[in-house]
Amino acid sequence: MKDDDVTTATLDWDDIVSEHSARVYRLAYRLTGNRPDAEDLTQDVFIRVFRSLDGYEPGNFSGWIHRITTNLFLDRVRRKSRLRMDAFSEGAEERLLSDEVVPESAIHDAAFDPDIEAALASLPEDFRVAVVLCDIEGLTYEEISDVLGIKLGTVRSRIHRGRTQLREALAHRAPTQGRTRFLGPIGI
Amino acid sequence: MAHLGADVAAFVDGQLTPTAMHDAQEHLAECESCRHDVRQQQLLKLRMGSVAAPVPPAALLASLSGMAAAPPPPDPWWHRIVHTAVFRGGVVLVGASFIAVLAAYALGGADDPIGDEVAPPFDRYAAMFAGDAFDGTATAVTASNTIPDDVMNDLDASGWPCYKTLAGDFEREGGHWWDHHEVVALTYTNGRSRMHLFEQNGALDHDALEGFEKTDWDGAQVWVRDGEPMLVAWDAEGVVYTLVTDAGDQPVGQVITQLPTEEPDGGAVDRVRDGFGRMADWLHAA
Repeated sequence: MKDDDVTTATLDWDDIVSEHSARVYRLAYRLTGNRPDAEDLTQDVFIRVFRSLDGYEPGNFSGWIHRITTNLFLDRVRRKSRLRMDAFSEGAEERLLSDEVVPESAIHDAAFDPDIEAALASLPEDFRVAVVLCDIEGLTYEEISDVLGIKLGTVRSRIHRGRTQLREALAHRAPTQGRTRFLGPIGI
Repeated sequence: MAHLGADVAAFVDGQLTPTAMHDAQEHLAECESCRHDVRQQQLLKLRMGSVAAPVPPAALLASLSGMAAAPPPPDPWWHRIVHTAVFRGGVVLVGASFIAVLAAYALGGADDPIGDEVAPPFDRYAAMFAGDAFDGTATAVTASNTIPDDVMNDLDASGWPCYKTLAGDFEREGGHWWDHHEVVALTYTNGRSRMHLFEQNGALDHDALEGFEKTDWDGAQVWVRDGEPMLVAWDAEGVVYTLVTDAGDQPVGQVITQLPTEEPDGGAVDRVRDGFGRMADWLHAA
């Protein structure tokens, strides 16, 4: 995270988009669990970044973008929880594989791990954010604490509980007849 | 030392202090149960780190790059306040709406929205109505987007009207999620005419209402586009409603009465003015 710090003097919009869009979209996808929401969230993040560039103080640009992404995600989840009561509780895999898959993206989807997708989607959002930032984005606990504005002890407990729940969710999705498991074992 | 317990994650992530790390390693050397927990989390972490990531679609990248040329409109200052307040129940909602009405009045414009502005795809709604099917380009009607009756009841109880009957004799045929689950789409019929009702979060984008006429319908402010079918759109309490129907004015009026609506701008302002008038009279009399 340290090597991509930028200063306002070097901020060029095209550079920002090319350097950060893939990372933001990946994080958005892991948090929301589906492409349409990931695209919407990415769009919102860049709108927020665009509007806030003037007030940006040189520092950790990636950390700043992580913070915007996770805050917007959690804000959305809280706002929409009343409408989208089925959002992550059931059918996350079906949503991914049903009407929202366009041919172009179907190629990429073949490389994903649907068990992990579904298990992540089953986690409470606060735990999901912490685990994704740690295991997929590779942030340290201190960085996560900074991004989410929570204490180190809370980061530690969310990751531990998140992983424990993930493992339980994966155990329930152990391969059965007709299903193939991706990328290795789920337990010992 | 005791078992690692909740420190397993911090151990796996190398986030314990050097002393705690040393103690943990000593404990692990003699505790099979903790070794098991650590191995499980290490495997899970490895697996999480190796899942493939999707690539952002080209259209999204183009849209992001284009922002510099066509900057997004600035955030209204009360945007965030109302954004979070709208869904937090009656008291807050009334307060937020009142602030928004006051703000709109004070600023001399009635066009400032509450929440995200949304522009419902009216032409598609009309085309879908004419074809009597939710078109397959965005979302085909499948088991995965049919809203079960019990979920409709829950929606109904939390501010998304999914009435079984509209305008007296229009019975609900079904409900569907539409547009990536952002929209609730309900269909009704009385055997002779039909109604499609769409509900989504936000405030109506007035710029998208080309061809619509602002109408005060029995004390409710709505936008009407005549034709076959007729479209009626309005927003209230953070929800945008679009009614598409081939029924006549009378049943449409009944639907507008049945569903949440907001008064025309003049109504609220006049009421406030009347209130001030009454207050002045009362002060004079005192």
